[in-house]
Amino acid sequence: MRKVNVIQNLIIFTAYIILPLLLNNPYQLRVLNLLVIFTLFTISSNIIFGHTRQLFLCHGALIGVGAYTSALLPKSLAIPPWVVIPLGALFSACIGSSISAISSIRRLSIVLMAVLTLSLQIIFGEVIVGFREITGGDEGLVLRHDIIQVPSAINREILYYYLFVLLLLVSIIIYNRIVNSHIGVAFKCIVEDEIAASSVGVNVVKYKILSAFIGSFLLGLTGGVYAYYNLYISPSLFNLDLYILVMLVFGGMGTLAGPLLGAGVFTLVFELLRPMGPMTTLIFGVLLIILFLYFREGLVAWLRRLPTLHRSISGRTLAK
Amino acid sequence: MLVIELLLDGISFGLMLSLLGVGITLIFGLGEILNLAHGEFVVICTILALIFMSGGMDVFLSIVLSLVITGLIGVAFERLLLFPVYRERGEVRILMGIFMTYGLSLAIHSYLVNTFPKVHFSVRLPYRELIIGGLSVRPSTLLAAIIATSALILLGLFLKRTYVGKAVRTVAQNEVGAQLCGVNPANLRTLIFALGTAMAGLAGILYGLIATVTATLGLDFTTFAIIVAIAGGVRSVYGAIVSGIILGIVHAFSSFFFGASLSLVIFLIAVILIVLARPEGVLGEKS
Amino acid sequence: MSDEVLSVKNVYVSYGDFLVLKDISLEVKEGEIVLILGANGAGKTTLLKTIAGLLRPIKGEIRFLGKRIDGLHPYEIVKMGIGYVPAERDLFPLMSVMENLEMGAYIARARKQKEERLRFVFELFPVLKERKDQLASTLSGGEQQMLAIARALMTSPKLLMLDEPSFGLAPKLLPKLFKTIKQINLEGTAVLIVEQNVRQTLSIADRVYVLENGSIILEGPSDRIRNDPLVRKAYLGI
Repeated sequence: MRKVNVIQNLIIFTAYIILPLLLNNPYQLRVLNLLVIFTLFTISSNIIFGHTRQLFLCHGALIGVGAYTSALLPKSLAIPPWVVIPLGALFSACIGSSISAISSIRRLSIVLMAVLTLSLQIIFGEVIVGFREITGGDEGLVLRHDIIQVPSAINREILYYYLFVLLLLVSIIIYNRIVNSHIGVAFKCIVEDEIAASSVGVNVVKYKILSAFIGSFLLGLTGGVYAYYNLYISPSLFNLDLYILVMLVFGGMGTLAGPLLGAGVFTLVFELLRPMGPMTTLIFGVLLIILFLYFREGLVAWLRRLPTLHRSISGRTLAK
Repeated sequence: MLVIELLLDGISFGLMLSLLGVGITLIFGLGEILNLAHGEFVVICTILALIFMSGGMDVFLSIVLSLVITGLIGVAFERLLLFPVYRERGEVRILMGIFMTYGLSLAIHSYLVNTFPKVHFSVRLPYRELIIGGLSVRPSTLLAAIIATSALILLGLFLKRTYVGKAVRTVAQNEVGAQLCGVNPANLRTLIFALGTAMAGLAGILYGLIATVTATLGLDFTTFAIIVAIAGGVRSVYGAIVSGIILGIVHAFSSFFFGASLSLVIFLIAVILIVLARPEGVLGEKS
Repeated sequence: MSDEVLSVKNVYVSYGDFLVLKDISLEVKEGEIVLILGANGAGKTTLLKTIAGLLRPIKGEIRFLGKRIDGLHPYEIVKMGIGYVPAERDLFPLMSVMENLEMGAYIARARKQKEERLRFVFELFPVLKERKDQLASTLSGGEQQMLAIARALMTSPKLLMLDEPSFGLAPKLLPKLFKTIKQINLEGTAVLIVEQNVRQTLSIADRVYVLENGSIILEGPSDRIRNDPLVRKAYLGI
């Protein structure tokens, strides 16, 4: 149980709230929106991978499922978007927890899980393309209705921003609740040593499925809202796993600030690299490697160690 | 008959898949690294061959040279980039290996696609078809199958009959035991990486006989390679060969009846089912 | 000094932050059988693993035939002439008995003497000859132990290290095992053996070290140790 540093959190919270009002250019606001969106993705990944070591390489597919469901259902059935988006999230959650269930019950190794989820990510793309009459295939799907009807582009960005931030806030609160509850303790045990955890009675399978459910739900939910925000979705938009993993690892797995920091930094990096075009992937690939070489614990752990580093350099002899 | 022709096509393609899968299996069996960059070596090799051939070099020599160079690139890759992965053990190493090779595959892929966007590698034989026993057989398919089979047989002989090959098996079965016999596991891991990537390159060359290799295909080849290896039981060489052939046949039939896109889905589903039904793979433990 | 095969001086070994071996010094002379006695957790296996190169000491030095070996890789140490039979045996389960033995002769020096060593090993352990085409994983516990020892012998070692060779063996097989070890020793291989089975090992050992909680608390010729009251109480149950 860590003491909630109220003032620090209030500052951060305020920053999030007032930031959009300081920007006056739709492009910058869009970057801000993407930042929050990716933060949400990274938090989900944190729950699934950071807290229960389930290597999903199909985050993109889960996001896409939420997005496509939310986009398509209102068209075919007359259900309003507000209802459809959570439904899409539920669908993602079912898929995610099924993957988790199958993998945990069959005790699949990390390798198998990686392969399984990678296959699912590919299948997702192929299915969307295959059913192009419904989904628009490779060319994508344009959404005709918006959930927020505002004439001004800037205001639209700002309103969506607050919607995403609201989502973020709720996610953070729920995340904290979970991590500080018995569920969080179970998660810690699972990350430490699964076999030991199950031997003391922790139902590893149940907690893994639970974390996959929650994480996938959030992925699908964010995906659904994103569809309406972007008003356009296509399969190629959902090959996001590399970026999400980079953000998660860089920020620090298993922490709250980690995804926030990681997504924050890398969304900006990504935007800065945008002029490089296709080479962006190259650079991100290299970044992932360097990260794993030198920075595996993540930024949060590194930041936490800074005070002690300072102390040890300034005078204390190392006992031997 | 159509069925037999499809079968032959499938076996031929399947043998190429086996070449890919065996590389993954060996590299994972020895170093616990799942080489997600494997497919990129396929592309690298074909690009090299193309460069040599367009430079005027004899086809055969180009191919041999590019295989060798691909193997050397594999060695450089392993020694320069993967050494931090070996510092870890167990699950951490597997994870690190996945991330490292994942990152590298995306980096290499991006580089190749950007630098060689218009590259098409294919080798066309002068004959269009042969009639053998009433069946219409494409000589390219036959040649690919023969070369792939020979390569696999040579590999099998290497592993079973030579001292170095046996040493490779010992490292896969018990690394400590291998060390206690005076075997240097690091050198063997590098050797296997070179072999694996060279075989991947060979698979690419053979694929150029029946179809075309472009720079974007790296990810697809990797996917196929891993799927074949996993379905065969990620540590079993025989398993990789068998599952490669089976999946090749599945692919041939489903491509014909369902078209490329859907057949990929069927392929993947078939693999998922195999993995779920028998996580140890088709044949189980490493031979 | 000149007939010292193995010399361990002031060695400290730790697992992470935990110091397992403290200030260990011992030696094995040519033609000797040296026994290391100690309860579980005393550090006996850690000691052998360190000598074999599987662990690195944080302090001290280990010399084999005069050359420093601490910090070398296990395969380099094997090449120099130490054969190690770990408690886990570490056989190759999917290879036959014959293949396991052949792999023991992998290094150049041993390969030259392969036929000779095979004959020697089959003489010592005839049951291995009987089962030479069987997979190692199908052998019984005792046979696997024999195979592990035989494989180490195939490396033509000048020093053979055995970690609890009697472990898991049926009691009636033990006298033969120790007789065989004595035989190996008589052929010219020095032996360093870690054992819990005290009585029988004492009878073949020349010198004994007693290890407790990571330190050597007693050392001397085996006759003297055998009659030491501490040892009698703690290890012989007298």
